[in-house]
Amino acid sequence: MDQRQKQLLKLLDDNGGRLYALLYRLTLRYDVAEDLMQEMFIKLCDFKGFDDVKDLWPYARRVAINLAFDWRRKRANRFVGLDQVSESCSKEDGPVKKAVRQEQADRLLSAVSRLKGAFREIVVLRYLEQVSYEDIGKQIGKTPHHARSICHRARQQLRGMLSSNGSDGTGFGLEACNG
Amino acid sequence: MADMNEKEIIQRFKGLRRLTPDRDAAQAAVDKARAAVMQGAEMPKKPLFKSYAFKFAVAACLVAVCIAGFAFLTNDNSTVPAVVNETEVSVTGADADQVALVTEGKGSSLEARLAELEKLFAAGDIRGLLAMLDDADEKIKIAAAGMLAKIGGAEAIKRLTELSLAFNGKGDDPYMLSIAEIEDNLKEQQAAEDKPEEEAEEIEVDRSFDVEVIDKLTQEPVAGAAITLNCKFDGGKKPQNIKEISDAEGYCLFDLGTEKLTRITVYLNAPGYIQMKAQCYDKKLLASVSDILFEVEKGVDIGGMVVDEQGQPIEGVIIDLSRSSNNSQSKFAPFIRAMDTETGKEGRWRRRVVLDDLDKIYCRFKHPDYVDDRYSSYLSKKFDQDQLLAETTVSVMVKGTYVSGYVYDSEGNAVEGASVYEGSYYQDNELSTKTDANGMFEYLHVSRSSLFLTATAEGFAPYSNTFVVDSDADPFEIILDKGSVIYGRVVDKDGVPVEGATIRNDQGSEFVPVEWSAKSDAQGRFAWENAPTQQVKISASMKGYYSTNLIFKADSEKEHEFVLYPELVVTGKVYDAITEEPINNFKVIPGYKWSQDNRSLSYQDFPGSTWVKKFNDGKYDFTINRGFEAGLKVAAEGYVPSESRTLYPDEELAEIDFYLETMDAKTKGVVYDLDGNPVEGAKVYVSRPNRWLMFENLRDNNDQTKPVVTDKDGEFSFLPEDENYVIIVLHDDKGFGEVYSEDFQKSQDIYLSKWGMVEGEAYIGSKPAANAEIVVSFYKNHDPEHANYNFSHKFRTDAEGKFSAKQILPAGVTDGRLQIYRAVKKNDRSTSSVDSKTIEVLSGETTYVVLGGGGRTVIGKMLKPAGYSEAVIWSASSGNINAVSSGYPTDIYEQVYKEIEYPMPLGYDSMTVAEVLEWSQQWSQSDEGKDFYKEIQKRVEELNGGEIDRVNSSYNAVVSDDGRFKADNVEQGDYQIAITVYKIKDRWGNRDYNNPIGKSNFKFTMPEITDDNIDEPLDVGNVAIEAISKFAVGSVLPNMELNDYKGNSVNLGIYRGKLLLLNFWQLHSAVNESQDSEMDSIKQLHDKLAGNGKIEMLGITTGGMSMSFYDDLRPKYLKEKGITFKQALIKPDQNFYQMFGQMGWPNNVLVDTNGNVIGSGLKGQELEDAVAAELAKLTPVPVE
Repeated sequence: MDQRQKQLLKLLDDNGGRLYALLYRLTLRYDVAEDLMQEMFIKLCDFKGFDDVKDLWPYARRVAINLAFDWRRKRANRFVGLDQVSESCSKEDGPVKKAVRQEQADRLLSAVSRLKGAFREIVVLRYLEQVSYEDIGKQIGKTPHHARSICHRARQQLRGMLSSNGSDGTGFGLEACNG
Repeated sequence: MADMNEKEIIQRFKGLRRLTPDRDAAQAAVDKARAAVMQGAEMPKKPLFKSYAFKFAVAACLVAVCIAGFAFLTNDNSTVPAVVNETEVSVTGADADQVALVTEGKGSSLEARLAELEKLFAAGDIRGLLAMLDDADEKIKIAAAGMLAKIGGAEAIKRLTELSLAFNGKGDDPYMLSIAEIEDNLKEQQAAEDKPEEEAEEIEVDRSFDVEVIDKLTQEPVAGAAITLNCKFDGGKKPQNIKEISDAEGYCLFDLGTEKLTRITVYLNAPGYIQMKAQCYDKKLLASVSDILFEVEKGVDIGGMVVDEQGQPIEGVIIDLSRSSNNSQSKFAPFIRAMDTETGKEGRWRRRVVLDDLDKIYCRFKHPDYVDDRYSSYLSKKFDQDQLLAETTVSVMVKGTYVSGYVYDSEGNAVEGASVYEGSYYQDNELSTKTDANGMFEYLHVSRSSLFLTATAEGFAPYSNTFVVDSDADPFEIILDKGSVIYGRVVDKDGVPVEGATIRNDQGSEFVPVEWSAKSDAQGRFAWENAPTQQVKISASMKGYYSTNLIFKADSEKEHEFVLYPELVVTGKVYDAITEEPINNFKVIPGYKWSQDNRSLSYQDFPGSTWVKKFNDGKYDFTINRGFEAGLKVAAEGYVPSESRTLYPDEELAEIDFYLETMDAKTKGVVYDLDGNPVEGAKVYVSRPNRWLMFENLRDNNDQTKPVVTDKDGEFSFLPEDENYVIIVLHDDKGFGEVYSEDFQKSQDIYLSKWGMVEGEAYIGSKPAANAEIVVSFYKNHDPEHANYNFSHKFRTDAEGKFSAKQILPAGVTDGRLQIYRAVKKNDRSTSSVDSKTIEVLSGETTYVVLGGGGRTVIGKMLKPAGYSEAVIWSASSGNINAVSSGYPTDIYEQVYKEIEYPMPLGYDSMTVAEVLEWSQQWSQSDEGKDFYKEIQKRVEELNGGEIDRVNSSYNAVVSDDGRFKADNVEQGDYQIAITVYKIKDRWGNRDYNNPIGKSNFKFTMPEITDDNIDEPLDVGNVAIEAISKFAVGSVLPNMELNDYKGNSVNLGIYRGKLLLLNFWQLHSAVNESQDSEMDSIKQLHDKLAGNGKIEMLGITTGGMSMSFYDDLRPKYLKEKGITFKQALIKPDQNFYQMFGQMGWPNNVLVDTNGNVIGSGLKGQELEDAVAAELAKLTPVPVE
């Protein structure tokens, strides 16, 4: 087993679950998340610049984000059947609330996928993965200040996207899922 | 619905975070990924499943199938658990974010082993599966074989074959089936590997491009800056212009799309700041470029006025201000945009610039009705900074001289459409034009005293010559003829023709500046029709080969052969000399010997060098395709650089490993002022031995070495390139520091000495010298062991001739000079030194100095040598007005040299001359040697009856275009005007020191200087220039007398009737590699010609007055070289330059039977050919 494989197996041991969770949250589909997870590791196995990667976990996380949004872009049928929807909300949620949450999440992700590359990545790292600005800066080679600036502008753009289409699309108030 | 606020968006992300995947799903995904990784170990280029959508379940099914198959085969009805693997996924962490996976296998013995099998399979553990083939239980073996069939390789076949041979169950042999499947897989794999290797799949990352704008001074973000991004793409996509405004954080983000870029340009316009730009063409860089930082500056306004010679303002003058930048194509760094501006009606101009850039901004004035200010110079050099800021500069533009000329063919017909241009090849500048139908060309405004013009026309050979500009003279005449044809052939080292080599002519200053190039044909041949009749330098180059060049005069009959050697590829590895561990990161610096005469390689490791290559995997490969010799130097951080052996062009391949010694050196220091306070912002220059640093007004003049700047604690760190170095520290207020490496290793604290100050006044005659330039310069003696540096401080006097300067190098004795610009129309670069004094500048103290004022100006006019018909370019002369002293007591020195016995080194007889000379050089620097020379001086003074008259006042004479000359501040006394007038060597108007036209030998006396006459110039009238007898080709060798080594007379006249080859050599040749080898080739030539009664050879060297020591060395050297032809010395009282003119050493001069000089500056093959050609002329053609 070569060094690279050892590193990748360690990555799986330490953060495999977390990567899968991220892929799942970005695709909202178990099967896709699973496939993308494997695709990602196959790609990492063959990745030419592997030796230049200093810290594998943050790097893999960025790859996962990109793969997930690639999938979103490519996917022809944007309809998500309820059978593919996870048992997402907390146990107390009823099926209606679940559907609302699912739909909202999908709309949010669609909006995020329309952001520019760096914005998209940083927004996911910050708000979904809750990475500090400092660490985001380190990972993408920018200053924390810059990362904050991008987040700020990404939020503004998301706000525009999610509001400009008129209705929220779900027919339900936001509060429905936030409680 | 109403607009969402940003908080709500964050809430939505929180909602998304609450979606937590199912544990089992997570485990399955992780296992699948793990299998993919394991698979990567065996078949790195082939994914586990052709489609990864083929789920992990397949693996589980496979196990089930194998087990079912086994059950069928053995007719065993016992149930086998279909799924034996249970996974427990536990959620840990307060935010339920991390899904940790814990797997435990459990069950009975067979179950456990089957579970184990499945795990091994999932993990892709082939070795583990192979081990399971040794299980006692056939079920396990068959299951393992089935799994190996999917993921196993050749290593499984042997054991499976053994099992297959031993198999005696019913139905198909499961082992054989597994082998067949493995073999199929292997074949497929081989086929995949045999395919041309595809690029490994890159992980796609979106391309975005960030621009950040900050204020350079405050480092605060700059909002509202307009940024325009201009992108050019590979392929057909239209160039794109995107405009954005920087946000409150100073950022601006652009989407670059997915197309490949070929160029990116960023224009930045921030209100209140100077406009900037950045551009990148480099494809490699463009592929990875993601951001750029603009540090913008507010700048200051500068300006002034432009007037004509009558003082009237000129409108519409373009002031072209361009900042020299380090912006190379391989870098992507912002720079200040071109800053053209124009004068208005009042003749005034204004531009906003960065104050620190005044010494980086070139300034050039252009107007169609005036002489273009071609000699642009830096703003700081052209103008006074205070005047620039006050916008009170005044620039004068002149109309210049109208010049016209005609181009004819050899039959006198006008040549229409010929290009006539000044300087290098045809450029669209104001001195490039074409002839009209009458063959006429004209230049409306010329300010130069001479023009180096080249004319070219289709079907004619190009012609170049220098013309003297004179408004009263006739138009220039240029006659073009058909020229010659140059034939050449390019072959490789085995003589095989090389097709497609690029052939070019050199346009260097010694050659005709015309552009020509060709490619060699299938036979390696090329021809240049209508080639210049003057000497040409032609190079042949081809990828994969060393390029080569030849210098010759066109000769239609001869085919010149260009031999191309294959380029040299050097490979090797780099190790730590002690541990022998590989060093991964290092750089390789090539060194080249550009000419045969170079004694050492010149390593190309100057700052920003593109010759240097970096490597990061412990090995290197380097291609060398230039230089007479080459070498490689390897440098790695923390190690002493190491150099390779010499590499020669005929090697083709070389393998050289480097073993580097660690550098145990201190590389951090602290700079303190005299009070012991750390100094922030001091510039620290670390320079190598043998490298010159030149500072002008405390700035690195050549911008060669980048300083490191101390931080707020006065600290700095650096990476020494060599074990010996010097650290020079400059701080505008705090002072100067200098530390050598050996001292720095002992203490890393550097204390600065305060700058010195210089004040004073300057006069010309009795009048204050207003606005004169004062130069204080410190020239450090050249010292090959340490870094070398020069400091010059330049400043100006005020209207009262007073000057005051701080920040002067406190180096003790420095050289202070007063300079005043010469008012000539040529350009403002010529200066004449009026007075110079040696002054002492001490740290923290002010030195007061009065310059000039003691003498009168001398003027006069030079006249052409009698009978000299060509135009003389007077400005190509140099000279001094020298005080006549009682002279150097040659005879006394000669007497003393004879008396004193020069010490001989031990073992003199067995030493070579080179060794003796080197010993002597070292000895003269020793205390003993210094005492010896003091003793000589004492004895000379004793015989002279007092100190030697060292009155050697010398005044710089400047000569203007019409031959008038002027020297200021000449004091009372007797003088000789020593001005030498030269021909022009090249298109830059440089003097040809080998071709002096003549020299003045005029004497005059400056009478007593009184208050009445001090401001009145002394006109010495006409000064005749006497032609210099010299060994120019075409001149006649005079019948001069020399001495041989025994003191007998040798008259050069006795050689008439024979060919004569004069070989001028110097003893110094013994320590000069190339000159030494020239002596060898002269010896060989002599051997060849020995016995030929038609030619004589005579060696000539300067004997002068010298110590007996040298008298012994000359014959010793000749003996060493095996030279036996006659030798002569130039006598002590003979002035070599008066006899032979100025020439390079060594030199060979060929004189024909009538005493005419027919060749000079000949050596090597050229000399042999010339001699052979002359001898052939002397051989009577046999009559049949």
